[in-house]
Amino acid sequence: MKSFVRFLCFASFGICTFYSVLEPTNPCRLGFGLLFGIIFGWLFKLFLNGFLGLFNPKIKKEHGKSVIKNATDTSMGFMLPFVFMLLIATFYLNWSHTSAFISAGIMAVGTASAIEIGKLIGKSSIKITIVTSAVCLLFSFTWILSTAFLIKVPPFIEGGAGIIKTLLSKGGVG
Amino acid sequence: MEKTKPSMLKTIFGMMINPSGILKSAMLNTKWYFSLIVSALAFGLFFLQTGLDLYKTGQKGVDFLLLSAGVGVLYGALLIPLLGFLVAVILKLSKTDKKIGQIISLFCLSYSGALIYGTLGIAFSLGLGWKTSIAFGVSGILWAIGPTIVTIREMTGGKNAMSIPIATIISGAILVSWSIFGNL
Repeated sequence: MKSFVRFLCFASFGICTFYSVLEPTNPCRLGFGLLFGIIFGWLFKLFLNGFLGLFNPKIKKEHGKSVIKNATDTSMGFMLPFVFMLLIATFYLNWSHTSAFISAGIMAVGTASAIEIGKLIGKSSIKITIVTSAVCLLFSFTWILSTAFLIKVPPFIEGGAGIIKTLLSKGGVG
Repeated sequence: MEKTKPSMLKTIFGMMINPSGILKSAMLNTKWYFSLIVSALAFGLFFLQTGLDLYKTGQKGVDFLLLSAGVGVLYGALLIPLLGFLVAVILKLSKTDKKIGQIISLFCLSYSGALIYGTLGIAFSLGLGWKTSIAFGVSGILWAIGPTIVTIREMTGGKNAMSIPIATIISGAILVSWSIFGNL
């Protein structure tokens, strides 16, 4: 269930980022956004787990390997309000620049992860807060920068698919 | 050993950056009227930025600018505490041992991030002529979601089951009501 929440949040992030009011049902844009969001979410979780594990070997020893994974999975739920607001902004208010919602959502996961780990060690730790915030900040920036370039990809895919389709329908080159 | 009372600035910044770390001391030391001032100013500045943006683009006049600031202050001073009261009632029904006044006060204080963003937004709007209602105003409201979740979570013994849905509905309602005001 918790993994599904992460999947849902990042899938929504991707779809909303690549959605265009001018082509609301463009399958290429929506599909690419969905795929990008899912891959990004998976990478984000992988990095967050990795860094938290790296800085908390004691917790892993005491509570088992899955404890960090559970903590990050729980913290991913913090993105839900941001996803809800992003959906309102994209589909109800028709905003096109919604990266603030996504970066704030990713940063909220950092706060939540630090709280979850703090619960395990019995106190809030500045070190953990810095680590989770740094990882989230990195991913937040990566999302903003990468989507600024990747937004051009779906039209290229569409164009390429169109050329192939034309070639096939006309019996190939030459 | 006597514990030192955190300063107003420390409370505001702490609530924005590390809400779980400052929540307990904020609950004990923050006066209700301070929390009310925080949310009133936060929304006053947010709505004022909206008015300024619309004024700069020639869509609205000075009267709307003043109206925006007034509506914003009322929004933060009346509607946010009212929402806080509804949250407190829900939490009381789920057997929290915290007082209703404390819950409302912390709920209003959750908008500390919005106040900081609002102050920066006004500075950029007036100083550099930027349009800031979305970049700073909405971002401030987004920054308030985390502290809201943490506050409700602490009141319910660390459970996310209530905090996330409540924060989701409230944040969505704020965004929609603000956009309706902007389109008036």
